[in-house]
Amino acid sequence: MPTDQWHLIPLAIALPLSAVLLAILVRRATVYLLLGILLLMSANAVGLTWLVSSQGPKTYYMGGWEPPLGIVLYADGLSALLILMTTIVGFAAGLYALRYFPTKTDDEDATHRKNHFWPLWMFLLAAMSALFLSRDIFNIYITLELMGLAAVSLVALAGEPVALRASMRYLLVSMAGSLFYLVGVALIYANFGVLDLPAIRAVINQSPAAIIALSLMTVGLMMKTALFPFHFWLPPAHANAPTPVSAVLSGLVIKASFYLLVRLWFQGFDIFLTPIIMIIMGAMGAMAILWGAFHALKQERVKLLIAYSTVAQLGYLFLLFPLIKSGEASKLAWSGVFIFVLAHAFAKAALFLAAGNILKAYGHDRISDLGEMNRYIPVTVFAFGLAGLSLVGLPPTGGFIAKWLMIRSAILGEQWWCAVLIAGGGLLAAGYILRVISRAFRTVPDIPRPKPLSPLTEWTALGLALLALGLGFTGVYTLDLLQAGTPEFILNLAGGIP
Amino acid sequence: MNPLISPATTFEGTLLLTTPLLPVLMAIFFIIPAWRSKLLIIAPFTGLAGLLAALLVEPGATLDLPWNLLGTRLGMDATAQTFLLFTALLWLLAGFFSYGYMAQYEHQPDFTAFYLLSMGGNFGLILSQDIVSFYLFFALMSFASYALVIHNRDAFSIYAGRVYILLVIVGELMVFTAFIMISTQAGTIYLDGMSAWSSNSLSIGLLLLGFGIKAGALPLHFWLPLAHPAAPVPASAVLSGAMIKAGLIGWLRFLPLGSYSLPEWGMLVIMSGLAAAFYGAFIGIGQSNPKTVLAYSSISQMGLITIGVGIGLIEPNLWSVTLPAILLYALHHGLAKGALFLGVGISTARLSGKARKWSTTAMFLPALALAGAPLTSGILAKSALKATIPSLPNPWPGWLDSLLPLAAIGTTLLMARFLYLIWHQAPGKKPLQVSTWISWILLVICVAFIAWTTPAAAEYSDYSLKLSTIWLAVWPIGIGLLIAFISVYISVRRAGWRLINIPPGDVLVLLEWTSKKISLPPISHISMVGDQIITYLGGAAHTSKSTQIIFKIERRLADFTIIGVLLLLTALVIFGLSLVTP
Amino acid sequence: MESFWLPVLILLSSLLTGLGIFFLGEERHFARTVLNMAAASVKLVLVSMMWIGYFEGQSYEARWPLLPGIDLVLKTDIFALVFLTLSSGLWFVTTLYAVGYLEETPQRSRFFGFFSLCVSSTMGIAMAGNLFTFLIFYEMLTLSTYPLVVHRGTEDSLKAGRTYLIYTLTGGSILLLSIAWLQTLAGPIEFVAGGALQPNDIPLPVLRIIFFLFISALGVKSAIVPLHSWLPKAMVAPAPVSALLHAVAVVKAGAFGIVRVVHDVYGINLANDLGVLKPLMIIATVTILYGSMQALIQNELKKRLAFSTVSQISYIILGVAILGPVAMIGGIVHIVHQGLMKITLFFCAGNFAETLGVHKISEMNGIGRRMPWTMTAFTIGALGLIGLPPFAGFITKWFLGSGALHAGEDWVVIVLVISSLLNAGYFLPIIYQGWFMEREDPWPFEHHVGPLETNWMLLTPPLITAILVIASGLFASTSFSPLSIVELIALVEYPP
Repeated sequence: MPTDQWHLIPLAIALPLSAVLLAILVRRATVYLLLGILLLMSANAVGLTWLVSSQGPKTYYMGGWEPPLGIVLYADGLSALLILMTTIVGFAAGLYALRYFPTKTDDEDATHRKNHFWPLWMFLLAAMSALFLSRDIFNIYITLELMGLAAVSLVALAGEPVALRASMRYLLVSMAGSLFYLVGVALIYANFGVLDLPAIRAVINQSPAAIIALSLMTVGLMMKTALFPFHFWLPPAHANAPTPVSAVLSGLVIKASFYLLVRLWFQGFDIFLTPIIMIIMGAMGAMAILWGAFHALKQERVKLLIAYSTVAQLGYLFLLFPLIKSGEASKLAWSGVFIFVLAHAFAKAALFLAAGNILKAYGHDRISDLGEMNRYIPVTVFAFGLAGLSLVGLPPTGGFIAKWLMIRSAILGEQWWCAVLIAGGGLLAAGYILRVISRAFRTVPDIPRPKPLSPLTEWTALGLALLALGLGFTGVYTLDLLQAGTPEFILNLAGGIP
Repeated sequence: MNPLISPATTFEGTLLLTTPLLPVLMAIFFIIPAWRSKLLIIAPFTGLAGLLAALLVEPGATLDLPWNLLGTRLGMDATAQTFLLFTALLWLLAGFFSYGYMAQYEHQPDFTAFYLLSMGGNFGLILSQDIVSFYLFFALMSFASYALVIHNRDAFSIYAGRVYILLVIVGELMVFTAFIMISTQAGTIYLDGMSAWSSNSLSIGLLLLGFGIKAGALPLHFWLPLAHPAAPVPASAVLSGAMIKAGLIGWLRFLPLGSYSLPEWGMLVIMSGLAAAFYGAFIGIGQSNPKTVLAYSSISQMGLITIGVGIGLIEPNLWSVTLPAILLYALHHGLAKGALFLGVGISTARLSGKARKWSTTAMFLPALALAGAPLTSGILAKSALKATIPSLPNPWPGWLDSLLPLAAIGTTLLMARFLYLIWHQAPGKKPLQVSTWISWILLVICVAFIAWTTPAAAEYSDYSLKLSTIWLAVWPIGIGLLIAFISVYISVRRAGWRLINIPPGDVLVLLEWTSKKISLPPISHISMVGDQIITYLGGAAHTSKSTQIIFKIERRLADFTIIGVLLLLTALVIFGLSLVTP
Repeated sequence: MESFWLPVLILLSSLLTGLGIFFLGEERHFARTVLNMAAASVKLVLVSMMWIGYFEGQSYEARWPLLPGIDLVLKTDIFALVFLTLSSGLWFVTTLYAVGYLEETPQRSRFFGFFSLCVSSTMGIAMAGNLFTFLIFYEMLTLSTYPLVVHRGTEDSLKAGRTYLIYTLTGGSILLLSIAWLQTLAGPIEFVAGGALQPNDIPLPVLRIIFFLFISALGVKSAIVPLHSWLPKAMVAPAPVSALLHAVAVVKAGAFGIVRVVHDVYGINLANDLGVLKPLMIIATVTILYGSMQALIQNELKKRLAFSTVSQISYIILGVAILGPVAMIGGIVHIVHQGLMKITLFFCAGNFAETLGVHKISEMNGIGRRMPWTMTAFTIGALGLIGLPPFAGFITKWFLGSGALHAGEDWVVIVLVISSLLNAGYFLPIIYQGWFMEREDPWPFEHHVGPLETNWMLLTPPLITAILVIASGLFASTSFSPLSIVELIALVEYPP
């Protein structure tokens, strides 16, 4: 009977949670066990994706109880893909962490950190899976909060004062963000008595309460997404966190809040989608692209550079709003942006892992003092370059496919400025990626020979980069999946929006 | 297709092919040091192929190499035969001459290699029946002979070389342009199709100028009195005797001679020819280097031939008469001039007094021939040329009849000057080689007889033996000699009185003065905006004002109060905007 | 089946080699060399197989869907085959040269890896069946060339590399925009002889704009003024790289693209109706003259050669821009001819630098006596570029000239003449110094001592290419000469 296989949906949350328990309870040598579970999760995600792609979106009632009593989980192409992305990146970064946190060490502090890392890690993944699967804005709040807490404490694991300061700031921001969001939720519930997104879509009206709620939730999520000008917390947090953590933060966590933003606007509050608002969102995105790129071009340290590039790349996501125009253009934009999300997740994670390798090998990541990297850490450099390609949006990477779709949509909707921005932004990205890559080819007479790295850390980075590349060749399938998640709002857009 | 043309027999084909190819291959082998000494011995004989071709290949025989370039066609016809005859003779004998003569100079292999290349070019352009291969061989000859001109590597020869190569390039380009136009109009690259092409004054002008440079026609002649004397003796001989004729054959091949009348062009050509004839003599007399004198005489002699070409342009239906005359004259001048130049080489060698006397005497033969004395090839050629004059429209016949004798006087004076210089030349140090001797004597003998064996000669030989003709030929020479003696007498009596002495390359002096005035402004670079952008974005944080401001803003954005304000602002904006939604 | 695999194999034969080399250890010189040469030979064989197939009427195509309506297409028409043959052939000699050139230098595995990638992307460009595929390989070429340009790793080489990347990537993104735009208007576009566009419902002004977007995008790589300034800077690259860069890989990719756009996307007739050919012609002529003048004032040998490339490439564009088959033949055959001649010159320049440390033209006095064979090759290449018969360059100039006259564009002939004059102006002095000037002071850095004038791996490539230069001019009318093949292309584009 079909419902059995749909148990994969709760499993996506249950597996990591069980891993958390394992990690806390059984201290000794659980690492491989956890990796096993991560493997299971990936398998599960793949299965889920396959299910959705073959049978379409599915609403799953926990224990068969309908809302408002029971918890509703909802899986469509989009959420399936994002879960897949989360597990894969999580898995890869986990493998990396295996060597990053030495398994056997007499250093008290290090073991301590390792012991805290794994539970938090699994917790983060669980929270994110839950977030991608929930459709109830209160559950979403909870997942958001859990995710935030896990992320913050992972940043703090790095231990250095600078990291602690960064994590403190991060904590405040994410708290504030969630708070704004919670207020919004409360308002909605008070006025409409519903929390389920489709239900909201049904009853929502132009009442001030709804509007206030929407505005609050939006800014809250913008803050958590670190959209310009609310990005101030991101670079220090992402740059100073332990490498695998930075990878996940930049690659996944911020995407979660963006995902929520999209769900809210397009599947709950789409009556408020007016051209002018869309333009405003787009404008902020555009600013982010330029601002982030500029600062990335000026950074002295590799990890900071990558963090700022995240600020820039987030801008592209918000171009989704202005690109939503007539039917065809909107479809292109929708798939383009979410392929961008995937590509960026893989590429950015790869970049951070590679940067971590550089940091480990050279003992620092000052760009000006790097040289001849390709001789000592070739795989890392290759990974960095490949991921860079995807970030710049050069063929045949996933980033390229995404940009191609977005540009097509921009031209179709005659949003010329978007087209130019997307194309030109790639150049800026090329600029800052090149700053690091060119160091690989630079020959410097007296550079201390870097420390050798464990192949695992190098190859995980390369693996992620290759995924970003591979995304370019599987565009067709990804598109099908995403179509399965396209909100009615966009599907209904025949003659363009009012 | 022209019925006169028939595919060559294997033997003829081989000859046609080897004539230009053999020298070139031989030259290429010179790149291998080990072979050079042997090659030096074989090299002179390569000219034989050309001679054989001239003697044995039937006119009309053609060899097609469709796979070559754009389809090469080598072939023999009346023009080619005569040209090849004297050209090959000259190259052959000058080759033997240089074998002995150049042995006394350094870099003989280099000289010989380029000598062979030029020879191949010269032979090839005579035989080629299509535009492309003509252009190929013409270029080969011109560029290769550059090495001959500058062979001595002294300041003068290098300077001469520069002038020479410059004009060569200009000429090449003119010819190339003309060729492209012609073949595009004619729709073929083969000469026998050329008759169909419509005349186009631009292409005609380009042809006249482009080939005129080679032929030393006024006013593009000035490289010649520099280059010809600058080269070693054997080279000057072929330059002035054979290669100078490449310009002529270019005209004969590509101008619409015999197809229709172009009076204006004809006049122009005749006038420039006359001008050259006198101008060359006038400047030449003043020269103090025997080779320069000869060079100027070449200019004036080519001027006379140019008159023939002009007549051809005016009177197409007379072409059947004019062409043989031109050919005859070309042959006569080629051999005679070659003999004289080689003679310079003889007279500058270390000689016994007797040998010196004899050699100088022997030099009277070619000299007189050029002056057009009776019983020489000169009178033959001149009478052939004169025979075409009467049919010209008035007032040409009258003018020419009165002017040509004056030209003859000029030539006589030139020759007198030349012999005078030769005679008063200080004997050189270097002994003479046998090959040098023999080849020179052979050449002189050729000067005496070859002309009479040509088909054209048959018609004019009787005429040239008439008393009236002889008288017409003799009196200018007489006058010329008279003037010469007087001037010599005076210059000996009254020291300090000199002939007008204009530096070789006359008008070039003028040109260089002007070119100094007109100097090209330095080409300015197009500013590269891209680079500036790169340098701005590229490096790490640098302290430009704008950058600093942006950094300050970034720091401010980390301030919680500011963030809070911004946050509320954004919220308000969205709020407001949502209010206005329909 | 074969029709699918052959193009793919041709692509992979160098792609896999490249990757293989990366993972081959730095010290495995012999293995690497064997791998390289083997791959190069295999590719040659495959290409010739393709020729055979082509003449048997076999058609080759490989597709992979990337997005709905967008496929990765590898197709080979005869034009592609010509380019394939050129690049695979020159890859062979250049690899040989590079092996000799880089002896005893660090980072060789990196070099040869990217070298192969560079060639594979050229292959891709040649076989690209639609604009999208073309774009992909066009960008791939940009990237795989960068490491070669900066190979020396010195600061100024890095600087040059950055300039190179910024220029070419900008061009790339313009290309992306214009392709996207065109596709939005006209749907996915495959290359079709005679033009793929049916401009019924597209406003002509838009088509014009897109056309010039294309030209400016591709013009960066084909170094049309004023987008050329990366090219002379890229001279810091090692000689084999410059050779490949100027002969087949980068600049040719640009020119190839322009030919494709004009003939197989727009179609010559549409382009003519749009009136975009004349401006293109003017751009080309300006570039030709400007490049030659710049070359005239350079003292660094490679810089002079670079500027000469700037002007030479525009011959191709010129030939394409002039209406009519004759000029087109002239232009396209120059893709091959210029490749042969210019690669010869760069090989020679490399030999001078490697053997005697001679980089400046002012240092070349009497070099002909020390290195006669190399200098001979150099002379052949130079005379060819000047346009003297029987060398390849003459054929080009001849066809361009008469093509221009056929099309009634007589002024082009004047431009050709002037540029030949300039060519002579900047090549003949070198030849003169090399052969006729005496050498008094010692060479800057005499490196090589051996039986030959230099290492045989450095000596043979220029000789081979020089011989090809002569052959493709001298035997231009044989049925397998570049000229005759290109005449076939002209038949396709201008059906009689």
